[in-house]
Amino acid sequence: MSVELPPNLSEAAFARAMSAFSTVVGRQWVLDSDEDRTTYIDPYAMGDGLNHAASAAVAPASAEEVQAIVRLANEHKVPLWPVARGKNLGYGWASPAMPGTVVLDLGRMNRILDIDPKYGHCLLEPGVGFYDLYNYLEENKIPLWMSIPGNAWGSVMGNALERGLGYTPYGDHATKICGMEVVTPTGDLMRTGMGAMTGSKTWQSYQHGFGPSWDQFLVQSNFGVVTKMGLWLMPAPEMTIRVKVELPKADDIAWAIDELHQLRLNNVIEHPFVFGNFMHDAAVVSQRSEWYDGKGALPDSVAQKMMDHFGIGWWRFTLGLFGHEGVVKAKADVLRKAMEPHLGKPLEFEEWRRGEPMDKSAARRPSATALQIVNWRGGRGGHMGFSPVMPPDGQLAHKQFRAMKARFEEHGLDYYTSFTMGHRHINNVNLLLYDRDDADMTGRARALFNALIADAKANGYGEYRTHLDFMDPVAASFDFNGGALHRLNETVKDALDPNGILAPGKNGIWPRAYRKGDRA
Amino acid sequence: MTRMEALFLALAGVTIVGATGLAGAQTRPAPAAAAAPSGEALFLGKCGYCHLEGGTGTMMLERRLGKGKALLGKRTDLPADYVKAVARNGLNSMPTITRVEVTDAELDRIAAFIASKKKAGGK
Repeated sequence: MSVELPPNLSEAAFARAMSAFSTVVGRQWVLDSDEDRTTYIDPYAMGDGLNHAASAAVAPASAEEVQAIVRLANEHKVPLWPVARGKNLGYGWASPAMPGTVVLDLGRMNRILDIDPKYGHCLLEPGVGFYDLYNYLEENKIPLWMSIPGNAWGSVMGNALERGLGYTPYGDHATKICGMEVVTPTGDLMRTGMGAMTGSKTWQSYQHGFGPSWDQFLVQSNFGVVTKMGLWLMPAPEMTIRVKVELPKADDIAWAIDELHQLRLNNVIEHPFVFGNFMHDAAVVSQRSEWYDGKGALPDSVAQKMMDHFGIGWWRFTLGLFGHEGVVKAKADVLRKAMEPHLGKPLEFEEWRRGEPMDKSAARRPSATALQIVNWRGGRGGHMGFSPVMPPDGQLAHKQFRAMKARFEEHGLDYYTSFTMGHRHINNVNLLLYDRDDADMTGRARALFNALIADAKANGYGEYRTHLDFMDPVAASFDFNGGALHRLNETVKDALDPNGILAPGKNGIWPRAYRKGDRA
Repeated sequence: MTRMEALFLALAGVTIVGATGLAGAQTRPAPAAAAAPSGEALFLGKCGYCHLEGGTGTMMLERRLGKGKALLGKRTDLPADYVKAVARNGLNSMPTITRVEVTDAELDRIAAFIASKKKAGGK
């Protein structure tokens, strides 16, 4: 396997850099064998993923080691791609945007530094996974609940820094970040918010600090390496109610989104939730070949057979109510009045009270089962998310669903979608499922993705998060005033990171050293 | 919850520094799991995300090889070197496992556990 070196770096210079990194972390934590490089290639890429091949990885064990590595990277002009646990599934895994970049794998930094049951917050290192934090809260009977994404294999911090979503009232994870410790692109160490004061007693209590607030500036960015992150956790509620709803007809989306928007806007439903089509579950519990082996997208008649077989609707969603019993029951009445006239039958509530088995609650345990979707086509299955943000309006959602479904069918791919309801928006998360080894299929998937970016832009919708392959075109779609935001991002990037060391190309932000047209 | 799942949930692979109070103000040692855990314990902690009852790896193996070969922790037909190669290179939809997530020494113990013909539940 040939090694893709960082641009502008000779083999000898690269070897000197690896040797220098070894003096900081020890030789065993400079991961530069062929086998190591293989482990950092996106296992779900459209194709072989080598367009984002890393040259090596380096794994520090502390913020001090991160600082030392970053300083050496500046000295040796070696670009670094920080990852927490590297499980950014569907968005590029642990791979860097620019081939040849060295992955800065923070997975060894995996301490839960603090959990405060009274104030409801924690302080974590990057390598702490959802399972780790969940287990710790359970084992120690700490009455705080986590928000957990659909696939919980990854890092709590990494997910929040990518604006990941969970399904409790704390499910918009980036908004629950409170205070960070950060290694700057030149190797300095700073703390954000109230943590900028030595001996601060409120680092995890107040999000804004004094003067400009920098936490969100470090989200989906390449302006620093986050080595500690504060996160708010939800007090365990007295009671929850959970209700699963099935909508039999595809066109039910129009009325449902309007009703659900009102419930979200007025805080009756306080959590993000997946309003997903039948494929969400069918692609986990079955494979395509069990239903259809023809060419082109799954026909509607086959889809109906699947729904009939599993007894599920075209659309499915689960709503939860969390809090004190009186509040939960009052909200349950509002929910009934909003939904039951449309459904023509009573909602079936599942109640949970403190002390009962958690499986009955409206919160979920960590699980990686959702990853089963990559096996929909068998072989080396891949997936990629296309996720524009749109208004929570029933007619617009109906129009979007019909247009997207037609686009998937035009490209011969099965339509897998969710209109995930936020407070005042929808994350329309669509997954493209493909066989990585079928060049024709991955070609169609790539063409579909590009068509969807253009369609979304024409509608005034932009993506909330995207795969490495599409960071540049998605960034380019944010084009107000000739791309003024992009110009600011790159101005800031060049000022903070003059050697362009940290994550070149992350979310379309390129440092001068590697910018197209500026490369030496 | 099965015994395997309970064991898995009990195996936090992280070091806990402070449970209350300010960051770093209180420290206590890592749980016993951090001190040379057995191959079985490592299997549960590192592979259990997908390879226990109901897990996504178990589902994939059942589809490909049948129910009898679905639970990796009960297999006795896989040589240790094969297990190690699959972990580092991936297989079908199973992703690769880095040496940061599972070190070579840990993978040796996990592979020896999977390859062992004497483990509980083995045939």
